[in-house]
Amino acid sequence: MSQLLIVKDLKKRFGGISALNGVSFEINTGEFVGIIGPNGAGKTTFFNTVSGSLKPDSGKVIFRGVDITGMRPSAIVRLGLARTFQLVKPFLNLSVLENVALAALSRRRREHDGLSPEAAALEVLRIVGLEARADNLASKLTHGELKRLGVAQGLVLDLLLLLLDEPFGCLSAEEISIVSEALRERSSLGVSFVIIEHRVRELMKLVSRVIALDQGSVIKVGTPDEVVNDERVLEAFLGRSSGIARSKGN
Amino acid sequence: MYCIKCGTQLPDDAAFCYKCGAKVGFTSTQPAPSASGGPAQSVSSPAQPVLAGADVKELKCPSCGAPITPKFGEMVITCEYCGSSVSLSPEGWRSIQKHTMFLPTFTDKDRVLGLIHQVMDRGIIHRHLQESSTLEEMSLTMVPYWLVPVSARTTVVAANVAAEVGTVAATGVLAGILGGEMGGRRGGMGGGGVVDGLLTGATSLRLRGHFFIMVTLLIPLATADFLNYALTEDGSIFGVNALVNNTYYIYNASLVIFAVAAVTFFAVANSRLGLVLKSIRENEVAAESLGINTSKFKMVAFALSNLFAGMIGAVYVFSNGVASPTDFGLLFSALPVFMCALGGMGTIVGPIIGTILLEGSIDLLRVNYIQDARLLIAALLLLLVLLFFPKGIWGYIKRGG
Ligand SMILES: Nc1ncnc2c1ncn2[C@@H]1O[C@H](COP(=O)(O)OP(=O)(O)O)[C@@H](O)[C@H]1O
Ligand SMILES: [Mg+2]
Ligand SMILES: [Zn+2]
Ligand SMILES: [Zn+2]
Repeated sequence: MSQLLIVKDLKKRFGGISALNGVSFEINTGEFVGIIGPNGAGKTTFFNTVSGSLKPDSGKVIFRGVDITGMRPSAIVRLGLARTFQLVKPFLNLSVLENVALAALSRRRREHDGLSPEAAALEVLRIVGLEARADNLASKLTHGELKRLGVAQGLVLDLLLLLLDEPFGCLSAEEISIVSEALRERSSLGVSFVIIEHRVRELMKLVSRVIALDQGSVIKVGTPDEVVNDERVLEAFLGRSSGIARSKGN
Repeated sequence: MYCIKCGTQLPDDAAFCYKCGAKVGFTSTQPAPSASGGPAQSVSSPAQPVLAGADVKELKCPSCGAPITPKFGEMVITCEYCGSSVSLSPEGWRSIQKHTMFLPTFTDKDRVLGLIHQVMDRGIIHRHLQESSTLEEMSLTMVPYWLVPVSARTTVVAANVAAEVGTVAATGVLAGILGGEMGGRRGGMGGGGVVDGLLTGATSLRLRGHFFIMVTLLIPLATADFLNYALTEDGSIFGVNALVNNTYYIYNASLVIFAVAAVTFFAVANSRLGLVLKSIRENEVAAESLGINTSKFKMVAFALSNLFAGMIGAVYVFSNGVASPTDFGLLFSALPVFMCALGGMGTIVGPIIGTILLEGSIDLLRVNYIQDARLLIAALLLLLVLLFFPKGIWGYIKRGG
């Protein structure tokens, strides 16, 4: 398997807080990787620095052999890497279809299949079960539907690597199975995923490898079983942060 | 009659506004455009000497016969009616405020060179020019001067300027597109003239919201100041001739440009480009992360709006009769922002409503004392509207309907 994404010693500080404290690892082509970690572990910051939303203080991000550290997000999307947001950022005054069609303007295979952005958007909306809402304003959607809209925007880009930040938050069990199925299908077509998720049980059904982060550092990498049973991971989740995590409703 | 530019009340037959200098009538001695269509040469009449003492109270304009009342001590006077200059005869040359016919007291060549180097080092376009220059020749020219009180008006009729504004706008569009292609590399687009819109575009692209509006407001002001400085420093003024003197044509040209602009913007708003621009307005971070190069599209939006601003600017020059950087002061730069906010930002109908209301109220406020407070009144109006209708008038109507 070839290495799709290489992250070397990524560091990011916010004032006194070290959100990323030298994170390194690789993602292979076609892999489905999960990231877990207590609140404030630096998971979202990791996505931000890899996708270009934030510049890391030091370290390197190499995607498809290209050094993308500090490149603007739209340029990174054009190379084939995109992310979704933990707090969804839809365009509330545009319709659901327009929201997805916008993303479809940057579709990777747009030139090959000649599918119009609107047609491609409709197809993905069907997959995530938002077809009936296509002409509604995004502001009319429920929380769960917005999350699915975010996933649809990510999927329609048709990229090589998609970073999903807590896509299952606010979703019902039924919605989770719809989205999981859509992701699994894309994955079988060779698309790679990195997915941050608090709902560990649902996550473990999807991924082949898990990275556990705590306080800006990687504390364990391994198969879902290995990670869940790891001493340090259990301590990070249960020993220190579980109370906080629960009280925050996460 | 009233000054078309500043609203000051003027004598009915005045040719120039005594307050702001705008040309207000077409009764001047300037020859009408020749029938052959060739550009008419506007003859700037040289100051005609008149025999009169310096403390004369009344005299007649030698070219049009209108009465002229010099203020105390004035020695060169512009006739308010025909625009020609009159200078009082030698016996009047008593109130010279300052003069010199002596050589400046430079101590030595090194000091002169030092001064020149200082100027070259600070150059606006090329810094450190002196490092790549060799001094080949030095010559001393003595310019004796006299400072005397003068009331003077100069009219500048601009056709080349108008053409230039159009070119600049077109260049703005081209460079906007190129700029996008070049990935927004700023250094690459110096070009010839100052492309103001582009300058504003490049600088404020990374700013958002209120800061963005502030910068779009400040950069034209800075540009006006810069041009003003550049013009007065070397003393040159645009000298151009009028293409048309007929307000009917000017009105029609404005109307056509307005119609084209409205149709264009309507088409853009409903196109994919419009969708992209709307997404950037809503959430720039999200748009960028969906693969939209937000800087490039903001540049396109700037170029597009500047195209029409440039076109209407060309017409404005004819309607005003004068083109001067001072025309674009705070009031003039702030008004469009007020008009948009008043009518409703992010709509096409909104700014039209805002313009009609503000322009209309300015017409109503054409009284000497109030005109200076217009900016204040406009700002108050805007504040009230934003307080009660945050989305502007049209935004309010649209939501209600
Ligand atoms: N923009 C920011 N400014 C300041 N601190 C931040 C910012 N973003 C994140 N942090 C801090 O960095 C740490 C990691 O945050 P984050 O990456 O969001 O964690 P996670 O997604 O794992 O919950 C937290 O302590 C958070 O408070
Ligand atoms: Mg997070
Ligand atoms: Zn005036
Ligand atoms: Zn006269």
